[in-house]
Amino acid sequence: MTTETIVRIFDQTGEFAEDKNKAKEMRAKEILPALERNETVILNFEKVNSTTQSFIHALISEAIKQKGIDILDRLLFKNCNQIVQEVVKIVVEYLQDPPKLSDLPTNDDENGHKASSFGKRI
Amino acid sequence: MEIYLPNTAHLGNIDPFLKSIIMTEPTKLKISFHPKWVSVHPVVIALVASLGQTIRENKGELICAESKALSSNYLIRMGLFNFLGISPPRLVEEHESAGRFIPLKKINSDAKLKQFLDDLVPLLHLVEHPEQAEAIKYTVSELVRNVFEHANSKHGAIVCAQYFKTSNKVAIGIVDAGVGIQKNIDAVHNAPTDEEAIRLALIPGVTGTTVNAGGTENNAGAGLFIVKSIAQVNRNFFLLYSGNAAFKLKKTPESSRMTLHADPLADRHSSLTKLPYWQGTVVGIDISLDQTQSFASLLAKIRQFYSLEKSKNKLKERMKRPKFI
Repeated sequence: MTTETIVRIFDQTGEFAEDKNKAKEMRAKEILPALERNETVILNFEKVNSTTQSFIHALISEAIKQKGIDILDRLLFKNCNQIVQEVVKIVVEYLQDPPKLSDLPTNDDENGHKASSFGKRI
Repeated sequence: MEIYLPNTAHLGNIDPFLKSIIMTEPTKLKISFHPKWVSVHPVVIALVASLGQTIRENKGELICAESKALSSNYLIRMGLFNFLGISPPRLVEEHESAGRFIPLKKINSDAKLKQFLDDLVPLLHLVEHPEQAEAIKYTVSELVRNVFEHANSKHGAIVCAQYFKTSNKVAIGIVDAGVGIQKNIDAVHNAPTDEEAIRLALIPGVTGTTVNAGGTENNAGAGLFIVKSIAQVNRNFFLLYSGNAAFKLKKTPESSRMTLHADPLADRHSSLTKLPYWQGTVVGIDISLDQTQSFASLLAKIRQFYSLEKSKNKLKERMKRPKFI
């Protein structure tokens, strides 16, 4: 049976999870050691109203870089509202394929720059 | 140094104000005002406060002309004269209940940032705009933390904000007198000019902490891109000024389709060069309260761009998704 470690984000950050120093602490003291012990880590965002990309990146990116993307099978996100879910998705997608400067075009246009190939309409 | 607060200087028409700042004689600062009416963006007030702070620190000379304009009550309430250490031209109630503004604050610690974020909703009366409040809190947090981590600024960030009724928007100014973007970015990327450094800083994945795409465990290099995108998706202005260059995102007209780009120079923008040299970084942003979409859906739109061309190369289909339980 897999052991679980539950990390309660609200207890560390309050309802707006933005303090990266707290994220680093949770990463170093709870998340990475638990993953190292082959436990499942549940990041519980109960009572958290919002968060930032910087906070979530500081919280989970090192685990993904160290263990590979499949670590998401045992790094789970619980009680996330829509805002938190969107920020987590941004960070996870970004980590799997970060933009590269070399992908940007160098052709000139009227501004001296061409719209990036990354540009996409909504 | 000389600075003149004009009749009007908001993000849409701030260029003449920026060009008019005189940075010579760094031990002396003269401040003067339009005689009849001064209506300026909070970023202007934060910028003046930052210059004043530098002068005070260096025990320089501060000469402030008398402001007779009735609108100088606004400058008084925003705490400008107190911040400069000079007597305000008249007494006003510092924060009357109808006011929707956050006066100048120096934020140089996690605790002060938390306090500012906690005060933001009540002081700007955003209780009835919870979605926009989240966007504003997000923006302030990311920008101030950028100052903490990259600016090497002795005093952290100087921040103030104001709600403008006629345009129904919240305007925010965040200023530091740190090392500036060029020094930061050029440490790991090739950014020989302020203009190029600002461009690189706005590209997602570029950070002054590593050459590697995607950043480090502590810095993704995406903060400024997302903040700019929040302004863009809301069809608002965004200004980033450092050294002698500035990037100004223009408003996207309602009639235009929304397009986000990784390269900011592909955005609808103006690039200002040969500006008076600003030692540090200046950020101004407007957030409209007219938007009815939720902050989550705004983030979802940004994420669509964030994943960029992945749908084309099939990578997106193979991507691992986070598990929400």
